Amino acid sequence: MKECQEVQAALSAYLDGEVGLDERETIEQHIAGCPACAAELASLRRLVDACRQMDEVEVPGDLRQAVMQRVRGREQARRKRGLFPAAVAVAAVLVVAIGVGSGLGTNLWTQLTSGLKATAPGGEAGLRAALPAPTPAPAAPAPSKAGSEGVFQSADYATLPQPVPPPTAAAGASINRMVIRRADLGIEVPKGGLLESGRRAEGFVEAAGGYVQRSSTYEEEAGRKVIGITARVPEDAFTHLVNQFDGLGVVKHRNIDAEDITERYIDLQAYVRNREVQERRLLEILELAKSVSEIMQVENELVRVRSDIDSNKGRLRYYENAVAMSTVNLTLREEGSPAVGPKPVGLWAEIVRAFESSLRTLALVLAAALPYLLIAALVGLAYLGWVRRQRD
Amino acid sequence: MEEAALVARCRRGHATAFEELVARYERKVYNLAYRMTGSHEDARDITQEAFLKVYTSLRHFRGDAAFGTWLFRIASNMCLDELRRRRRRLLVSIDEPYQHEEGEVQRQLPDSGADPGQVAEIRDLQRMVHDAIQHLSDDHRLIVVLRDLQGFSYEEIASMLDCSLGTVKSRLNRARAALRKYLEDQELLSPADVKSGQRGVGR
Repeated sequence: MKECQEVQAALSAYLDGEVGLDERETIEQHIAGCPACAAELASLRRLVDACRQMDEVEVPGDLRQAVMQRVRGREQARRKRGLFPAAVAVAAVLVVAIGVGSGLGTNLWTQLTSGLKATAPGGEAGLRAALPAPTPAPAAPAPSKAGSEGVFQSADYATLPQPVPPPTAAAGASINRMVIRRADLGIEVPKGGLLESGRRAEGFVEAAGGYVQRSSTYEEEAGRKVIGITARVPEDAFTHLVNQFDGLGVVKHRNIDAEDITERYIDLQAYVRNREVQERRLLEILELAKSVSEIMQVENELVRVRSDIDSNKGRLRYYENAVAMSTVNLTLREEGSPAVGPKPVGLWAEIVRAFESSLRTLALVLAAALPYLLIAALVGLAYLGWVRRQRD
Repeated sequence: MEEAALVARCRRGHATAFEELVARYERKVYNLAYRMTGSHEDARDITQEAFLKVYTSLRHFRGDAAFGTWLFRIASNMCLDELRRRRRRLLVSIDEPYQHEEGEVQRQLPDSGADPGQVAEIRDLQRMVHDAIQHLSDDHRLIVVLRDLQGFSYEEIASMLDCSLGTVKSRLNRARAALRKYLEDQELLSPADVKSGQRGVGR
């Protein structure tokens, strides 16, 4: 009896081949003569087999991208923290000086002002399209480039104006508009029909070839149950899905939003292409490098250029995914009890809008003041350097 | 590329090298988190957090254990944290509807399995086992998932859980016993069920 207990305690490890030779022999001898322990082993083996047969579940397709996006965000934040502010200012001066010299600044300014005019008659879209478009490409490198290799920097920017326009024009003609579409729906369903509606909604999503990114059930203050679903569907199924959701009950609020990122996308593409040209050039320079320190210097720059290419390619992929898969946010509530809906949402939206528009104004003012500020900063820095030299 | 080289590249700040590592391991990490939490949403969060944590602490990774082992140690701890957090949340508000999705799945399971004479399909068997795993204690759940679902060796598990081989043996033994007991108590695991499942798989 005591032996049975001991044997049974070791069966699990025995099954995995994790017992010593002696123990193994003891167990096998015992089992040969003890039906109870033999049955125990068989039963345990069935259990372990059942576990091993478990299929792996599929990993959501966008998980890797989500991870990498966060990793890159972390990386950028880290890099920014490590930068010396004065160096940033100097780099920015270089950007502006060369940019203005090549006419880029003038373009930027026209776009900004025309965007401003467009806002007045009521179209925010004009500004939205004009403002972010030129900024990401030329401005992005400024912080990350503030290192010591001034030579590479000016080489980089000197070439910027030439390659950029042709691809923009060419791509603009061939590429379809890239639009990120989002819908936000609030729907009231008959009492008691909440779970059923939730299930139907998820069915619609699957039928549309999409997937449910988030689904949650919770209670509002008045004890009213709410289901929130975030669905991603292929872009061409978007309208149909929204209509299907509308049919689930009474539509309480409905907000559909389309953000055109074509320009941003094309600019970013051009920027990446430029960086790739630069990468090739650095490789050529590397061939010519003679001393170790030269090689190191070029390689450092290569690392930086490549990681910049990588992270911006990541952004391109992110845009592509966001365009290919539209997002629909659905909130289902049971009808009755307090009306929670458009009002607070409207107020919040207004607050956000007010905030955004004052931010834009601020950005414009800053853009206008920037050259003066930079000159002032340069003079200040020169003065500081002079003072320090006097002291030494 | 070799894993050590990839890790070294990551430490020098190559995001692409890290992406390669994510590609290699995301499946296993996600599955671990899913079997531990029983929820795709939590699995998603945990996978993201685990990789992010790994990335930010790569500098402290000394390379005395394999990268995978280290990653799974981090992921395992995050799963355990999540389970603990859930229990705390449950203590604050015993809110059935909050977990209704999984709750319902659990209630349905015994029905589908207890039906006598019906040949259990592999799917059902898988759901039963998944459900049974969700009823184990945290430690038991983790060790069963690591060993019997993910197939790690005793040594790897010992290194992940930071314990001795003896502990792995005895804990796994107890965890398997608990799992079996649960399945038998629910009458989910009669020898016939499991056999038919095996036959189905051995195509």
